[in-house]
Amino acid sequence: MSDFDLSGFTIIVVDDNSYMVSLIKSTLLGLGVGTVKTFGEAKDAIEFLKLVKENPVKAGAMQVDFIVSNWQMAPIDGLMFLRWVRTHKESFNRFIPFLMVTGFGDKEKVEEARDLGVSEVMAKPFSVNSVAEKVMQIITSQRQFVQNQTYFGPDRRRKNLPFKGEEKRLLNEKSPEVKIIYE
Amino acid sequence: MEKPQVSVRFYRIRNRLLEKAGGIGATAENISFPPELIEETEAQFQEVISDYPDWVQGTLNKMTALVEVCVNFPDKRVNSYRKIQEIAHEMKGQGGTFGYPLVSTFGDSLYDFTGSNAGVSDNHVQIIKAHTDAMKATINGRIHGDGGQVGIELKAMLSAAIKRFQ
Repeated sequence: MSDFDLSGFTIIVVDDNSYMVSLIKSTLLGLGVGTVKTFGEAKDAIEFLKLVKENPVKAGAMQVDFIVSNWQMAPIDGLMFLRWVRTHKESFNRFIPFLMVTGFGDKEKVEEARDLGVSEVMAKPFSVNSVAEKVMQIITSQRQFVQNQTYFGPDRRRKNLPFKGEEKRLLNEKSPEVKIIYE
Repeated sequence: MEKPQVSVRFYRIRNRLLEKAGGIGATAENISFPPELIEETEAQFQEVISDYPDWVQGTLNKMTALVEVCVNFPDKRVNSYRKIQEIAHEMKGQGGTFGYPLVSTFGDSLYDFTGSNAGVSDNHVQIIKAHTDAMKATINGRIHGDGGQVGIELKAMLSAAIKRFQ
């Protein structure tokens, strides 16, 4: 068994609550993350991500490894930020893992984030263990990305379990309408 | 025969984060955070959260001011409820994280009492006030965890207020 070495990682944290930002930042630094950039507004985070794409030297970051964002913020909330990351042509990296932090624990809300392409959701209240667990999930269980007419994001089917009965899926990876891209 | 148009794309990306965190050959099964690192981070976490009661005073004052608006200006209740509900939602999330689960309990209930179908009567405002008073008492009294006997009494007082004004 080896230990995570996150010293080369750069993570951005977005939350309009300065206390929450400092708590998440200190937790990530404690877990060994090399660089944590924090933002009080999604707008500023978007500007930063654009700068990393255009001029990483000026941004002071060659890459961003994943995003941690609060959901409930104004004027741009976590969902709008996620939508920008996943779909906007100026997005820094449409495949970047996105961890949404939220007090919304109900199934419908989590599904709303899932359908916009969130990678993981972390419920408040959180602890060091729950942050560590989510970081581990993001790093170790990268899913394939799916793009169709209505969705772009990590595969919402986390497990591909065998099932009994008739095949009802319209397409599978062998269908000519499906293209597999390796990157 | 014409080839069907591609309508679904699967992007299978090499897991560079795992390679970066654990080197070539790292797998989910052979990599983890060392327990002592979690313990040290936990100690830092506890230090950061220890000044939560001081930090949150601004939010409590804002909530108190909004309740005052509700008490004094009936026509501003709906708008103020919306703002109180936002704070209740935030505090619900913060409470448990910062060691004040009672704040989460009261915040959760306050969230429901300030929803879009909430009443705008004077009595309903008193229920909202009872919630904010309970949250302030919890934080200012630094009532951690379930609060023991004090926690039981605070919950009983809030329940009594809800029963009385509902």
